[in-house]
Amino acid sequence: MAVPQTRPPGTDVPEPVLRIRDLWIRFRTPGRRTTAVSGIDLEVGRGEILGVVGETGCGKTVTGLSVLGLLPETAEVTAAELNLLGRDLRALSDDDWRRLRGTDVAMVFQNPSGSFNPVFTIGAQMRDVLRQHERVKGAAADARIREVLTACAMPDPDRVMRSYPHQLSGGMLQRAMLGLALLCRPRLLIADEPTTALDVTIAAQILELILRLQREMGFSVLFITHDLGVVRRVCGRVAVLYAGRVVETAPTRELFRAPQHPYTRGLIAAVPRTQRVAGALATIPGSVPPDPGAVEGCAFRDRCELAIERCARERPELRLLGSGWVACHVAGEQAAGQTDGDGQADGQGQADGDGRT
Amino acid sequence: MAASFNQLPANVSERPGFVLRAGRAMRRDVLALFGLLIIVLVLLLAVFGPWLAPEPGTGAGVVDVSARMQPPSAAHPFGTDWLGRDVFSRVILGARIAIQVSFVVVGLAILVGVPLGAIAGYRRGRIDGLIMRITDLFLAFPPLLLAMAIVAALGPGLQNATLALVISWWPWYTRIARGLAVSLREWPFVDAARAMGIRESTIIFRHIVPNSVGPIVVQATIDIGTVILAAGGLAFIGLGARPPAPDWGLMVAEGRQYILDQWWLSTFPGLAIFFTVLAFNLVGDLLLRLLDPRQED
Amino acid sequence: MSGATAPLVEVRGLVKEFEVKGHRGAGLVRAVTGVDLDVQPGEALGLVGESGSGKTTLARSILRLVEPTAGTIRLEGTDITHLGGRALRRLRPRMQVVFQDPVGSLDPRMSVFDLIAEPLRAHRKPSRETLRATVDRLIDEVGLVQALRDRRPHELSGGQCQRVAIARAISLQPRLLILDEPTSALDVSVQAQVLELLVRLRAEHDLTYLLISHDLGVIRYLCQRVAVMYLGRIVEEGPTQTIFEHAAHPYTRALVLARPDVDADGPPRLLLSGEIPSATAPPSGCAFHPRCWLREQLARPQECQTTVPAIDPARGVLAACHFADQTDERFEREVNP
Repeated sequence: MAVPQTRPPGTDVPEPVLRIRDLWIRFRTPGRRTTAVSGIDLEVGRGEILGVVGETGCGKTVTGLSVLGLLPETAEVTAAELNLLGRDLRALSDDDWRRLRGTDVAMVFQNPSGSFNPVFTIGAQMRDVLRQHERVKGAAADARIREVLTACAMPDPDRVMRSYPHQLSGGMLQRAMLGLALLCRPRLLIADEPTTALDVTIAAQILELILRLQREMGFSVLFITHDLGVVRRVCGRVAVLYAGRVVETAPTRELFRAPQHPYTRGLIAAVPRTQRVAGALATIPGSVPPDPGAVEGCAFRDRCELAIERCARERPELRLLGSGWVACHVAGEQAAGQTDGDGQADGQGQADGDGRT
Repeated sequence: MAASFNQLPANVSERPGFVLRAGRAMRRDVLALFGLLIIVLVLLLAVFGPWLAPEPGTGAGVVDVSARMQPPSAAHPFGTDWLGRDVFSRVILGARIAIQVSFVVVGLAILVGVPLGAIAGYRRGRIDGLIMRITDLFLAFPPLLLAMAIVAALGPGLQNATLALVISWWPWYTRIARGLAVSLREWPFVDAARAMGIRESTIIFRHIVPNSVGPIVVQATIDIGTVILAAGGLAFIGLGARPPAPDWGLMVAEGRQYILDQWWLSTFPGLAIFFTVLAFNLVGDLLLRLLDPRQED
Repeated sequence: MSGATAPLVEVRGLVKEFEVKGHRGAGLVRAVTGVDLDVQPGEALGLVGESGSGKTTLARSILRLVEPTAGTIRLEGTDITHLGGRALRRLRPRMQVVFQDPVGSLDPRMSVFDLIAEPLRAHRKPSRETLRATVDRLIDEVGLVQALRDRRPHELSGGQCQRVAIARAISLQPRLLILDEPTSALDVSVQAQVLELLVRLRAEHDLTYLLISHDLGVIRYLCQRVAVMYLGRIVEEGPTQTIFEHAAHPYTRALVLARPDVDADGPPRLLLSGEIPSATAPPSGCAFHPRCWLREQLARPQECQTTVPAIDPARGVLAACHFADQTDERFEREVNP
């Protein structure tokens, strides 16, 4: 299989921060073997925010964890390439991983309160990180911590440093977690649903914060989420995952203007809008197949209105289509399936005459 | 053709049944398998003892003084005691007593303790306080002293020892059941039952208690072994079974004075206790492991 | 507000306090402060708010899962505020609930059939044939296949579990269905299916919905009227279109715009600063004033800090803001400086 580049050929780009080719992640528990990820290709460029979007079981979280080596022992990870800043992640020792985490790559999680040890202060935990990775202690360490917390828009960094996790609100904890992650200036930040557990007005603040920090500090972000609105707001490029595979990847604007994969279209159409929309909500019939790793052909075919005979036989590979990549036999070949400029596919029995203001 | 959304989704596994998982777990854990086999053996002996023992009369006072104090041999695998009774037969017969006592004690402790604990944990407030205070009171009694007090009041014997053990044991189940009820009542399905207008007593006994079964069964399994040990201990100091009952603890006590020369008198009943208790502990551990991950799902 | 038909639910002056044991000793926290709310028969009313807004407590009070500290709740005219025991149980069939956690709201040891049958068994005591027929019909109605009848909750997906919960909730033919974040725990595509189901059921069974959600898209899709809550009070109430397009309360405007839009690029037009206040330390006067962009624009008038604004639907005051009449024009200035 030819190694696809996720940018159209001819674009001159420097070496990407993260390059994943043909990643497979399987879990082996006694008596069962499940495939969570079946052949994912991803690339995160320098200073880029790549969105990885999908629903439950698509493998997005597991992919993120594999970049940090945080998968349980029952996981089997194989890849043609799993490269972070030029380092091969497939054969790292425990020590190597420990040196990598926090310094080159860091992660923020969905549940901020679960990420901090409840019996230590925030400051103590952040000092631990600095001491471990950069051997910085005392006043110098505190200064660094204060600096990063200020960058994370904390109104009173000293008070936060003295606080225990339970004394901070969700939004503050998330800022603290960002601060902790960015303490040693990683080149790649993996954010796994960082705003899903937050109130909507607070989540809006955190998203703006992440954008600002990224602009100022220049790190790349692998942004994992199920929320398409968040993807549109924050990410420059998007990879859509379904059942452990990448089905479409494109620059954000393109993806929403003209989604090519039927699943992407269905997903965008299924989000209830805050603007008035006439007609019923578009639904994707069916559900994710029970064992995606065992499906022959396209994993989405049972739910796809455009499926043809080939879809059952042959697994579609990512191919270049416009400025993005689509894994679909049918996409782009039928003019009837084109969108009308607002990201909604017609002919699916819904939202005709979208009463959008 | 679109599939119905009635398929099981990817993230929900078709979990194999409990028996299958148990079987698989035991294949990997040889000790647990060993424990289960011993338990089966002991249970079989408890039920069929009188027919399996070569000399069943030895449990009921039949003696043969001419064969006294013989070491283990082909005719008497565990030897004979000072009254010529076949120790092997007596050990087999003793299984019934051990199982009877332990099952009665644990069974009654659950019957009394679990409903009290479930009610206390669900109701909270004053009822909770009242029940738990009574429970704490009973927990404070050392089982041995309690047994002695009851024996002093009612006289010695297996029945009174059993009573003493039940009184000592039920508070533990109240504690466990209460803890489970306190956490279960926070679950949405309890709220849902209340919103449906289900009566409180129904909620407690149809929703809370059935969902508490796991940890209680684990505790009960291990307790069977512990009770056998305790009953044996009581018999050892003369507060339990009376001679000529083939109670294991009693046999260990009676054989004590002969231990240097006729070692088989205490050793074999002692080993019976040891292996039985061990077996229940191992299986209890296995159950613990089997039940826990299911709750995590 | 039409006075023609009596409201299905009438809440007046509802207050709910909880005891909290903090670091500084025990104290009382007001989750809901003086709420007046009517739910009209046949409508779908949305209740929106963020953490600490009191929306869940309000719903639980209406359901009588908790007893109010003060105020009254009437269900179809009957005062249920302090009702208990058999009298309350008799009324329960009239209002049912669907919870946020699809799997957790089902007893893990019960089969789908038993779960759906439970309310019927408790209240109607039907014969075996009738029960079987009714449950089968309900299973069909929520779009599940009969083959799932014997399955336990942990063998079902989130969407399937929620359908079971819905079937159970409508089994007694309630007048009112309270839905507490019914789709928050579900994937987007599953959520769409369940929302469709809810729309259909409401029409077919003439149900009244009280829908609680933090997701404004869901609210917009299902509801005709919306009440917005902030720190225990209703701060605005009105028809869906008004709330979403010309809200009078500055918080509502910010809330509607906070959610990243799937159809448009760019930052939120209004970004609120500061944290959501906690009920243990409520701000003085208008609870929203420390974060209020309108107050900033108006050079921080004293009133915002000293006086608590209130809505008064009877008098047409639909937003709890001293300066609600200026929201519209000031909003333009805020987003186009």
